Amino acid sequence: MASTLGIASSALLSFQRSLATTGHNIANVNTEGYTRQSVDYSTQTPQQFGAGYLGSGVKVDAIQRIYDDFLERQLRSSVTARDSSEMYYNFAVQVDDLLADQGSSLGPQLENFFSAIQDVVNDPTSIPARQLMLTEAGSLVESFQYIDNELNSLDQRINVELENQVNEINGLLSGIADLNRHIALASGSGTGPAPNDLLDKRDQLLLDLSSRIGYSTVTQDDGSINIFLGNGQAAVVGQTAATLSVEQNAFDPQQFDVGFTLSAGSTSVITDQISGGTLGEIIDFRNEVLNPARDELGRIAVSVAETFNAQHDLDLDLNGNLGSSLADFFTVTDPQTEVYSDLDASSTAAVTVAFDSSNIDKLTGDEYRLAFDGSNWTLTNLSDNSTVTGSGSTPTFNDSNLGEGLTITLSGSPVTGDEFLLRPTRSGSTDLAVGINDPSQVAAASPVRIQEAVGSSGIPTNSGTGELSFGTVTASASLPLSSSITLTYDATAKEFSYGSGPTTFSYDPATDAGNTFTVSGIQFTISGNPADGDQFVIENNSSGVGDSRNMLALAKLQTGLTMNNGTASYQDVYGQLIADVGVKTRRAETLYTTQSNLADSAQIRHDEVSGVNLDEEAANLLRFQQAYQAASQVIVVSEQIFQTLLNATGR
Amino acid sequence: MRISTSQIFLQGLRAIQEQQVKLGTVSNQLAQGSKILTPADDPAAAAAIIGLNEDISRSEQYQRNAQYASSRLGLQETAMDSAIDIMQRIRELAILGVNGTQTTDTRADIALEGRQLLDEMIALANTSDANGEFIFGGFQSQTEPMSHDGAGNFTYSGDQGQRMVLLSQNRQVAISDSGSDVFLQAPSGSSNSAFTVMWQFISDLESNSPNPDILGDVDAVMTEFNSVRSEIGGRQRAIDLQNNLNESTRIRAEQTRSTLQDLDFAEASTQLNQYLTALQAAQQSFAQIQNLSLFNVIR
Repeated sequence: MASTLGIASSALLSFQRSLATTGHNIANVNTEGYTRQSVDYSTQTPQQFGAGYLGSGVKVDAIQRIYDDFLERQLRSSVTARDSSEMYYNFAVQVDDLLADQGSSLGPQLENFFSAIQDVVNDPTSIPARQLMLTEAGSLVESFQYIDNELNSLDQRINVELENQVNEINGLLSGIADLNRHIALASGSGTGPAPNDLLDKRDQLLLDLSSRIGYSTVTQDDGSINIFLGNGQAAVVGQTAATLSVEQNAFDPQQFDVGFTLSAGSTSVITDQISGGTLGEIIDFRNEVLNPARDELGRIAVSVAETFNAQHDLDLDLNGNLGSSLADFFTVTDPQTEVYSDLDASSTAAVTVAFDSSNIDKLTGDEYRLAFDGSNWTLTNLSDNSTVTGSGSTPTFNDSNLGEGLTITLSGSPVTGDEFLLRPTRSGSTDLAVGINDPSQVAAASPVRIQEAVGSSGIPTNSGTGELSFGTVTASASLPLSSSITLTYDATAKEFSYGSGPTTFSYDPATDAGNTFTVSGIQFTISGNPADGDQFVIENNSSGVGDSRNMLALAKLQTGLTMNNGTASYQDVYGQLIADVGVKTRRAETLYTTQSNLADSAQIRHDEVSGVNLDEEAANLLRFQQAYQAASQVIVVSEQIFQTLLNATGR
Repeated sequence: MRISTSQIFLQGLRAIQEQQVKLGTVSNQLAQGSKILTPADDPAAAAAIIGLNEDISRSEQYQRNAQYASSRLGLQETAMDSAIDIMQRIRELAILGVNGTQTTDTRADIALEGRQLLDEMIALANTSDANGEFIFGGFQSQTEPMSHDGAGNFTYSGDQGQRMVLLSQNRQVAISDSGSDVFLQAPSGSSNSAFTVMWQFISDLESNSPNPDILGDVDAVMTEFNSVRSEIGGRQRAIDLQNNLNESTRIRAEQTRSTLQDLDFAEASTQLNQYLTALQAAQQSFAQIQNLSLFNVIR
């Protein structure tokens, strides 16, 4: 009798547990990270009697989480990939829109500027046309600055976002360390039953962490999980969590780094070691899209200004003044503000960086690091890590040894380990300005003209068919000419002579027609058959207000291959920039789509095992209810048998 | 195989959201008439469109330049036509002047007309355009190029400069000829210009000693004028030709741009309907599946 009651009550207790667990499952159907639980039973130790073993009921072995460690890890890694590509995409698409949108893009502004230049070519004496050109130049400058400003404010948002992410990660790390402690305690350092709900909580924190930063885990015997970041920085060890912090960059205080501190130890910068997660992607976005976009934009600004100025300097304005004697058309500032130093306290090293106007087509948008090893300075281009060594403590890097459109000069006494970081074109857009505001100072005319000699009444005196082109001025010309230069042809010697020397150069109409000649820095071509004694005069273009030859040369800069070592125009480089950012944005978008699908299917596979199904729980509820009722019936029956016995004997 | 309740819910929800995103994209495309909403939709096409926009705007500028060149040259053409007419009249007067029936007085009358024609010719050489620029002054377009002291001494104070404008990336055309090239070229074998020839004619008549040789000089000047005139005509034709080329370049670029970015409205509206149907289906199946629960049955 006693054993029947015992069996029945063991069943009642067990089914109560099952009903409670089913209830718990139903209650947590919407709890994020909840893993369904089930009760494991086994038979109680049977009692032996003569004929054999008699069963003695049921007992609860464990309440288990239905959990697959492999699926949980897969879910974490796919969530990392999904959330990081989403973060990258959300930032990159803003840059992409900014660069290519018809309203904000540089493209239409460049077109308008060069259209205005062509209108001055057509009508060089028109003040309104010149004024329009200056206005369009101003709009172009504003356009550069607008785009750069927007990019700069993205940079600041990145710094804010970095702080947010670091704070969240710190919360998660300390939460995980805390749960490690609770779990170790609750499970008797891994010897007792598993504290299911605490494990769920920790898994949820790990999942949240994986969306923010890439990490790896190692499970300890006591049930705690250790977390390692990047190159093995221990972010959580047992019950101790490290803290991440936002640190100012050693070179550029405006740019934030991620610092890592393990329990009151020293702080190290781990920015470059972070990969994946929203934190990693913010840093990647800054390095791959944002900074290069600003550098490229600045490079275009510097190239436009330098090439434009070089031509404009050779021109005459409406008042007959030489462009080089006026303010530069565009103001270009040497990139001294983008020099960052990390020097020993005793060091007196200094560096000056200047754009090399005559080799500006070789300018890159790259960043450079200068490092002193005790005897020499080494310049490293950070885009491809190529190096140039300048011997001694005060070398110069220029076109002959560097060849990238810069002149970098070091001075002072450096100390081993001294470093400079250079971003020559970073501020190119913000530093750009229009240097002249008087439309008559727009220089359209060439400073010299070449023509046939004329008699006293202006009638040309030459009798041959020889012709000289109008001539272009090179930088070596000394202008204005101190006096006119008259070239006289000697048909016998087949040569021109000029000056008091006289200086001669040969011109044979049969072989030299169409060739280019240079006299005192002025280039021209000669064609045709000059007669003996024919004269040509090179003179200052005084009153030549109707001349727009140099404006024509400026107009041609629009399509001129003035960038990328003479292989690309401004628009080409800007188009490349858009395509480059577009490709990166597209890649992030595609990655996000793929990774969302992967994360979804990882979630589905995970939930297939661990998720609560209400219909299943309903069925279980019926099952355990029926079993509970049956066990109750066993007690009733055993009670009735006992009553029968009492009734029989009590008489 | 089992499935969790939250999974059923989320899957249903996601199906709805997916259709909504597609609907949003296609309705945005329809609103903008463009299949590229952000450059990332098609980075290569977006960069190509930037280049095409530049090509189109440049072609338009070249067409404006051509128009300007054409009207400038038109002004010169008119001046040359008048100059030729004047020389034609001088030729007639010269023939008239050598006629033996003429007297000193009648020759003086002819000379008087000759003087008027000379003044007209000088005025032609000093033609200015709507902006007040002297079209035959060379680069010195704001200095009156031709002057006459009234005693047969003509002074040209311009230069031999020519203004060029761009008709295409690598084609430019002269939109002016200097007075030196037009009026001062000496007829071959003579050291005279159009003006000195006219002056000679006038002074011969005024001294009642017409020289029939002057006809040769007059013809030489007319030949020179005609050659300038036909050269301008040649430039005008070249401008027309280049204009047609620019026009077709522009149309080609616009067509390419249209292929790259313009939306196929028929296709997009079909898609819109598809997505609408799919969204409705997703919503209906969500509602029906959510209604299914064992708990509804076992009460």
